[in-house]
Amino acid sequence: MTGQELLEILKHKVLVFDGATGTSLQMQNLSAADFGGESLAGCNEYLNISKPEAPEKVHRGFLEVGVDVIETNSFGATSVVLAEYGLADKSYEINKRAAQIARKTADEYSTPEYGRYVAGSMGPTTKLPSLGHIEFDAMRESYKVQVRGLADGGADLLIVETCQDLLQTKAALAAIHEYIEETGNRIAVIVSITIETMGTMLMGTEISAALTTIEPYDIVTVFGMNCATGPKEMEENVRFLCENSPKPVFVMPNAGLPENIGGQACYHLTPDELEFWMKRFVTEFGVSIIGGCCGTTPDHISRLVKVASQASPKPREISYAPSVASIYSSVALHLDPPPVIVGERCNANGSRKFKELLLAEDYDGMVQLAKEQIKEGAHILDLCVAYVGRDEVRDMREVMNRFNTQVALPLMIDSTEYQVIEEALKRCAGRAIINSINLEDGEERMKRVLPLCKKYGAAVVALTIDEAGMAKTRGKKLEVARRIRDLAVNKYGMREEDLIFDTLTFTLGSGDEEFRKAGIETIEAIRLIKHEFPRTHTLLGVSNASFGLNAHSRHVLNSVFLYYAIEAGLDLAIVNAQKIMPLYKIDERGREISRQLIFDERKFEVAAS
Amino acid sequence: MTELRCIYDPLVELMNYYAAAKPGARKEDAAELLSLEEKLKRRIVDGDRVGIDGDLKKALDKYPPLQIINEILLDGMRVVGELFGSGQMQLPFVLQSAETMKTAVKYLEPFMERVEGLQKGTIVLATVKGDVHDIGKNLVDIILTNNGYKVINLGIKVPIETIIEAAESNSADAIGMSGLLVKSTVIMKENLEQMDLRGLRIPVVLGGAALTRKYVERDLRKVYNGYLSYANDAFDGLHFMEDIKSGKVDVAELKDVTTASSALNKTLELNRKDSARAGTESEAAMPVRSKVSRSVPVPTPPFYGSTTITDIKLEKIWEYLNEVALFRGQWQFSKKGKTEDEYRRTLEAEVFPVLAEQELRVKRERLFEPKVVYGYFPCQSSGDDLIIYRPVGEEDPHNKWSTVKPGSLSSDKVTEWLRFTFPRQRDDRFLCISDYFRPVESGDFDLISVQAVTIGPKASEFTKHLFEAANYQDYLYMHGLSVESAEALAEYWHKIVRTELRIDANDAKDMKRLFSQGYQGSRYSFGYPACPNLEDQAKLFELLRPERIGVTLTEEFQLVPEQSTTAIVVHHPEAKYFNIK
Repeated sequence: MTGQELLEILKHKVLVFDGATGTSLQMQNLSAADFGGESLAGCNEYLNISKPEAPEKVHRGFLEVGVDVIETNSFGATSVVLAEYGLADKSYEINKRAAQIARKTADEYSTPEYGRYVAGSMGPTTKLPSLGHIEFDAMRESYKVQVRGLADGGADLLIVETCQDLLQTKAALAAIHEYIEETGNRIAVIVSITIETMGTMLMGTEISAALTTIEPYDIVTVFGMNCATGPKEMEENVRFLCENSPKPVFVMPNAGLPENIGGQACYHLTPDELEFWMKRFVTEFGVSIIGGCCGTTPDHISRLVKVASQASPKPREISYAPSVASIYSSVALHLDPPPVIVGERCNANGSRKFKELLLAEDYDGMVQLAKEQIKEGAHILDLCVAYVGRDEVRDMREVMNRFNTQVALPLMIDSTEYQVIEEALKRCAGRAIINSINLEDGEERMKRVLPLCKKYGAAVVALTIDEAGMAKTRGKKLEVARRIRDLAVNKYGMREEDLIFDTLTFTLGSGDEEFRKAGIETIEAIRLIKHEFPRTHTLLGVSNASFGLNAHSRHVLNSVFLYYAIEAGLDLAIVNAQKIMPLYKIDERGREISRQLIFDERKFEVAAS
Repeated sequence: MTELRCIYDPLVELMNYYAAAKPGARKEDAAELLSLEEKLKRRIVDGDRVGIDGDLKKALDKYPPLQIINEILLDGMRVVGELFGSGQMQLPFVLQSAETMKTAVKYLEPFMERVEGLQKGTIVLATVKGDVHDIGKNLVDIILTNNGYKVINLGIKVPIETIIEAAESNSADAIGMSGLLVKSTVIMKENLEQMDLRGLRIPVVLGGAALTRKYVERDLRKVYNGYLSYANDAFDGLHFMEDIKSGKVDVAELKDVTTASSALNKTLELNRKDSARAGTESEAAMPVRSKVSRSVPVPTPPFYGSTTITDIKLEKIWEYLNEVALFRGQWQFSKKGKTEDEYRRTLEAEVFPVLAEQELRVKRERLFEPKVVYGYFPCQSSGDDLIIYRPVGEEDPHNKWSTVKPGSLSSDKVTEWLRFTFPRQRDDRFLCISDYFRPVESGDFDLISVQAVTIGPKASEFTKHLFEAANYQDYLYMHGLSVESAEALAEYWHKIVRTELRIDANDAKDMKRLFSQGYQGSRYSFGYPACPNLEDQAKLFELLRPERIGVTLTEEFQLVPEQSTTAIVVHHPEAKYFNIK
């Protein structure tokens, strides 16, 4: 089943997933022998090999009450988890068997009018890449084996579920991305995150940041949440998703909050209560797929079948603002009032302090500098570790390993090297911006960078530069932007809202005749681009405008320049947030001279005729 | 074509205009060019006290300390007042200036022979009897003190005798009374009557949330023959003192002031008599009950009795923070003179970062310890009374009840615990809170939820400490955040109650609308228009025992710590705020 086909089905009905697999297996009171020996006892996934009747019985129980989708018994079947039982090399086989068992059972219950589907379950493993438990690539490789096994065994779709760390989710999605590229099988994917009782994911991720991060992936068809709590505790987050997620919403709660009774997790939510909440989620919020997680039995799930057959989802009105995110929280690419401030100080080329910290490999100092910018009012941080003679990939790795969890703002990865960019993306749990692409060497750079943006869900800054160099007139800037936009959207599958155009700032401080009109042209180009492609965003590195002038003049000129750029539609500004002041704080004369300089209002003597 | 000669180049102009500003200098580099006097004045206006000692030291070479204060620094405070008055400067920055002023005066004091000459006048300030709210009064203190006045700040819950004594023993020029509660406006009137009775004519200034200019100028001026003024904000307090001390207001000839307005007063008197008569008439025809529906379904609670909750995330609470109340009400970032857009920019640039910083501080220093005690109780109305029941066989009703549970409630298992008597509107819709509940005659039990929430005692202690340490700006910020956080917690818990009762389907999606009752039912707090009797707090305390979460009640029925609130939650869809006149 492709994502498109899944969307088609969801147009007509609420899909019902099955209930708890683990809890249901436990209730069968299986012996160590059933698991294939003492050393394997508790490895539910190995039952696919040692006692396939056990998972089959679970599937049957749920299919009997009328579910549409059953999940394969493969939650922990990645090599990362299986290694704990010495079964790492059996991952492909176990996943394939899991899918085959589910496939066979589902087919028994399928009719031409009423198809039953198999979802390949991909759990979070036991490791958190954001905490350095495992390298991103190792995790991706492990997931890739699982994806192949599940798909080859006949799974209709994949569910990356119970996600704890967005970097883990991204590793699973990178694996699926590669699988699709290699096989052409555009299998449907559901991503389901887990919001703990404290209101965020285990790593502290707010639901908005998770949505921002996963939403750009076009391989993901449905987004939602499962596990950790009962439906009541999920309510606000479900509401949030239904109001904000462009993707259909999936909800699979536990049978209430688990209570520890005599060392056993017990779940107390009654089928009545589950029905009440889930009906509400469907009819009042607009949830599209419902199911049960830990502690839910066929009795519970039969009520969900009832809900799905009687209730139709509320049509949703979505307000989604294109955004970027750190591992913790999300920032929209357009703020009201503008601009989104991109802090410029974590740049080895632009900030002496950051360069010195980098050379001294003082990583704590770099984190500190990042945090200072948060205080100064930055919303996003530019990060550039390029420095002549140093290993930029290594530096990026070291810095990103810290920034990912220690800096609460989304990052703008600033590098000309695509290897550095990918290194950063593999270590960024949230949604980053890549800075930047251009057409200086024709399409070459886009060809390298945009596939990375797709694979990791990043947004990208595009400079208005082409083979002829930096575009200087508004017409030329628009022309280059148009060409980049067409290629990015039509050829590389980016969306307009993922593009952030930088119309280039030249200094007005040199007095050079060539740049006298540079200010107006840059500002007017913003207006033209926003008019032609209103969904795209615009960005300027503001400080360049005043290069060559004394400090106070720079301060004033930058502020006035930013004011007029915002008026023309500027969304983001790379600035030192502390060095921008509101217009009313500038004396009137200074403000007026700056305006005249930006709009080139020189006066000339009248020509003697 | 030959090039024309450029006769005006903005680039050259800009370079010349700011030429004196040294490259690499910090943002204050323009200040380098200013004279010492201007620089000091500018420091006061900008609230820039880092390094002010150096400037003051230089100034001492030229002027005696008193002259520095009166002619330079106070001139800066005058500018601050003007900027505040015209809406160009927000209160938190005013406080920053006041802190700077305080720093400067403290530096200069040891160089002065006698400090008294410094004071331009003396005022006694107090929050009146029965009221514990002192932020407004303390702001007046800050502004007056740092504008050269001597302030005798008597604190909170001050009886009139103490105020008068202090005024006499300090030969004060004026008295300032403050209070947030509606009840305090009545106390102020009694105080003024007392003062008038004793023949006092000392000028009085009044301020507080429940006070209006109209009430002061029309009603209160009649009972007091001294000069009486209303202060809308801290600077009004300053203007009041300036008016008195400059002789602009002839304090001695106050009789004239009252006579002048006696014609107006007479008219008012007549009007009031009319309306009083109208009141009596309607009283005769007053129905015993409003037209509120008596048959709305009664929701099922998750339990009867009460329980305490202590594990509450601050982030959760802050989702319910009423930012308008915090920014405009508590922090006083006024919108005056600003367009919607400009105001939004101010919030974005100045206010939200402050909020983030204060929230961080609260978390880091664990200043808030949010706790809730709440419960659900069976109840019935009887006329204007609301009867609350308790289980017959329950040893301790201050818990979730074990003998009476939802579904097992019947009249033989419960007995009357206590009753509230709520006032009824004398006109309009004749509403009374009791009307929202099923009457005894119906034989049905209705349901009421009651809550008490607190942010904990640390917030009060910390804000007090900030005030004493002259961290005025932080004092304002932290006090405001703590008070509004308690309100937010109440709002949040009300939301939980609606969810538990499954009456939250109509909740407004937009958080802001929740603050204007965008939900089913209503939350009433004692002391507010629909249930003005503060004494009812004692009954609420009997129901919930908020002592369990560290909240106690003073003799004047005020909650301690201040950052606490209590409420009754009514589920009836027609229940909204209303006024008892």
